[in-house]
Amino acid sequence: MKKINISNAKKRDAILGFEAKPTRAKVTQVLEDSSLKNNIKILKSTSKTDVGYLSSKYEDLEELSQAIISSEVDVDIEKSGKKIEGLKKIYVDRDNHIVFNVKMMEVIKDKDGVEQKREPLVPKPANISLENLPIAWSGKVMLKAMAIKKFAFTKHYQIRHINGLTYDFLYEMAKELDEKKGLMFVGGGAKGNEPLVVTTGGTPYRGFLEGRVDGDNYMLILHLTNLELKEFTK
Amino acid sequence: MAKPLIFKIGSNEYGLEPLKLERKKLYGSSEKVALDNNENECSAASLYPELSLLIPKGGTALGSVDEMGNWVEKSDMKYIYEDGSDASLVPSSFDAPIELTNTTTIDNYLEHNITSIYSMQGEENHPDFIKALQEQKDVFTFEFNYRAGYEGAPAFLIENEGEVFVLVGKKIEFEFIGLIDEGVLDNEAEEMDEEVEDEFDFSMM
Repeated sequence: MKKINISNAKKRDAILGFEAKPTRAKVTQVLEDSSLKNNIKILKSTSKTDVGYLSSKYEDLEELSQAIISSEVDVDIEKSGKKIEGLKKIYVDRDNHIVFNVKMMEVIKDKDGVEQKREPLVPKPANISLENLPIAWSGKVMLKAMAIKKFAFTKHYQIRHINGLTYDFLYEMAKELDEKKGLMFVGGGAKGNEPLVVTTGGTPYRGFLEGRVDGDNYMLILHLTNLELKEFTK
Repeated sequence: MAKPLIFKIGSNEYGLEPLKLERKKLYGSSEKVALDNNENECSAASLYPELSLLIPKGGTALGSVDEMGNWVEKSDMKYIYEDGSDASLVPSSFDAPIELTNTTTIDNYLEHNITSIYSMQGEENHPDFIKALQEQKDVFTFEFNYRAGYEGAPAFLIENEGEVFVLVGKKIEFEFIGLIDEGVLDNEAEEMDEEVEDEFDFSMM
């Protein structure tokens, strides 16, 4: 499990574990005899058979089309269809030459897709497992019925204890939240109000903590959202 | 106008057009761009080290093989349920009215990972429908299939200040944890494993 550092209402913090729980498909695609299939990745085109590259070698697309029909220039008979694994991600320039030293930029666009600005990319650092800066217990609880109307929760993590002490810590947290029947806002940073970034370079989300108890068992879920449910027209 | 979804409560039918809600259309977006030394934009590609091959974006495809490695066409496969029985084709939700007879608790709704959100247009023409949603203590739920397929997805109707949304998701298998169910922390370095896709909107709170 990955690490998360959370504090409770008494500002006691603890390093805990969290995990994304699976979603189970109700239906599976199998072969006719009900045996399982294996998914593979195959090669379709290379930099020498890609239409983008080929179009620079012919007068126009019409000529390229004829060449494809008559000579199948877009297929490398030795390599096309080959099963491939272990691909490495790289960057190439407009001439398909590998670029070894790229400068990463972040391009900000408005809701119409128009570029507003671009600046050097600075990956947002993860902030959920910082030793000296736990995710804060805000005490701000929103009733579940209201929270589900306002936000779409698109990521969820279950938080788990790693020893007896943290079991007590999390159980009490879950019990308090269960009694409040709400989702509690949690944030990162010194003031406890910054969005949560699970991994460095990842997307920031607003976090809400939900707790449930059932006898001596507990369930503590971190719901993440970055989308409000509000009026939207074309 | 796009084809509407028809919801049915009792004998009343309400047609609403679904509009896919995307974060970038609400808040804008951000994307990563790589520049070379001449400030020209580079494009992402893949390197296949075994053959020293440069593969452009879109240069690979997915396929299926059997245990012996023989290629299998999609038409030679079938869908089965967990018990092994053949799955039935689920029609598209646009083909017939969706009868809203099932509800679920808010807690159960929160156990779903939302994968698609539709803002329903035309709700101002159906005040009775909005009233029915507002008066519902639990959440209306139904099986949603955009196109006919073998597995529909659980969908939920949410109303907020007169706006109606359909949220489609997948059930997550959360579990109650006892003292003996303690976990073990990984011992791994952090990875940059997510694309920077959109800008965070501080106005949310």
